[in-house]
Amino acid sequence: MIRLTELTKRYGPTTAVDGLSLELRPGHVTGFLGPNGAGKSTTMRVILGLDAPTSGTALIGGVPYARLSHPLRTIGALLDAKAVHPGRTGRDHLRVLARSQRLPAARVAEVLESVGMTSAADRRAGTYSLGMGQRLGIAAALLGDPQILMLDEPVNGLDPDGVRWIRTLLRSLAAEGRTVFVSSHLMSEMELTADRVVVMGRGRLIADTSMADLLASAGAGSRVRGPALRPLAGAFEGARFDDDGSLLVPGAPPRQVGARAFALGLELHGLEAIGSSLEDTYLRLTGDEVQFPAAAKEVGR
Amino acid sequence: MTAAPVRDHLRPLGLRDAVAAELIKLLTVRSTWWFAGGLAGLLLLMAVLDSGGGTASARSLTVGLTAVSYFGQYVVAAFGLLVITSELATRSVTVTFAATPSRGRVMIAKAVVTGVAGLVLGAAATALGVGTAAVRHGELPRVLGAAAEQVAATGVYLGLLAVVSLGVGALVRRSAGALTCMVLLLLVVPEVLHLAAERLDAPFLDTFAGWTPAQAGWRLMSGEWEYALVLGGWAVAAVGAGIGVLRSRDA
Repeated sequence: MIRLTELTKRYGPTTAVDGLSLELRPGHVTGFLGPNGAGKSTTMRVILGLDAPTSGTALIGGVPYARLSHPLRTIGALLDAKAVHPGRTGRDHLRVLARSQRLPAARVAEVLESVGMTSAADRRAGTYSLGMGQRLGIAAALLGDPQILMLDEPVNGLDPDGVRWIRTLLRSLAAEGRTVFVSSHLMSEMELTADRVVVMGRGRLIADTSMADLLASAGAGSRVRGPALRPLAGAFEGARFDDDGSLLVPGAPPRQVGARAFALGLELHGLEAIGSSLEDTYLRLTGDEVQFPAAAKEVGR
Repeated sequence: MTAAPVRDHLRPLGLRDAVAAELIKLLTVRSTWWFAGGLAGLLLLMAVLDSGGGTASARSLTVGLTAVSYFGQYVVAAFGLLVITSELATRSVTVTFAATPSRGRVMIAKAVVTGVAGLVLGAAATALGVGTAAVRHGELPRVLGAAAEQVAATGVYLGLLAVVSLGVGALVRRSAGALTCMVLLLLVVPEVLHLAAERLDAPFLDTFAGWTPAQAGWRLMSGEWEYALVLGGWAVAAVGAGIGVLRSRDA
């Protein structure tokens, strides 16, 4: 189990993580979501003892990472698939790690097989594609058969087969009672993989809940079509126009939207209920927290 | 006492595990073999190119001394600092620290492996160079004892120098910067001290210059074994400072 208590990390004037308290429990895949710069990777680096927290604590099974007697048997992590010496083969990279943890050498071949890297294992890591690097990193995380897995953007660079493979893998690891903590930008993927969600924005915790509750709390939304919907868009927080010109109103059922349209005297050509996706929910939650908004409209804050 | 047998894998990990891992690392990158070949090639080249003229009583020993002092020590310096800077550059040091959270243990393990490698490669290359020169000059039987001592002393020098360079690599963190610092330390600093001693009429600066790694190394290779202690001091100071930097900075 991982427990973060009032964790804060500053780099000079920048606060990357701001008073984060969090508990990750076994048996779940916890999806870690947030815009770029929200502090996800920093949080993971602090958990691994790579960066020292400015204040607060990050404990793994009650002790800080540095005090784990067998780190890789306790928690397996993939933070950066490219953090491998390019001149060393994948197999040798894992041999080094196995020896450092006094793991049997046979374990290297096992994990290489389980991530489908056996045939590429004797190539130098510098020749690997991003997807192969991710697989090698996942092999390294699995090496010590740890009860906790922490993966930063593991599906980056994976082909559709790889994405499906990792989804199955993470869910089976959680089903075995392990703690699985995984960050991703791919909302649709997270919706399929994670059963708990932690959302961060600007270093702060925005949501820490089950996937089902998060989606339910967002409620059903509506899709509206019509010639002049701007007044309606202004009447609902979070309403936005879709690419086809229709108006999406998350969290408001058609009955409510229809009543408002009638009150505003608007002509409607279509009104339908839509389920709220994780992506919609996420965008609504983090709308105010985006560090680098696409259209820089940060005026008068 | 009938303590339950502790399963091997449950014993806490220690320095031995870190050293064993570092040894695999060193043996599984090509650069190690490039450095080994380069050092041996340098010594061999000097031995073959040496004219053998003059009246030096033990020409082949001079070959070993000059080859290491003029060229070989820079190869070993580059070898030592790359052990850490290559990991910092590729960020693979994060994987190392995840496996072995103690920065001190990581650096000491690296120092052990780098030092022993520097010693073995240095001694082997010197034996090759000096041996070749001795055979060429037909003085092998006569210089055998002195050559053996020089081989050992050169091994000790290059082993300790590799460790000093490792420490500087951890301090500076960049390969090019660390190599520049090593060249300054080996070549420029003693020259500046000698110059200052002359200009300022301050002979103690000459003594300081004699304690810089390259000049201490020259004396060690010439048979003044007490200079191994000076180099040992440099190695301890450099690795200690390197550990301090690794501890104080985020990886």
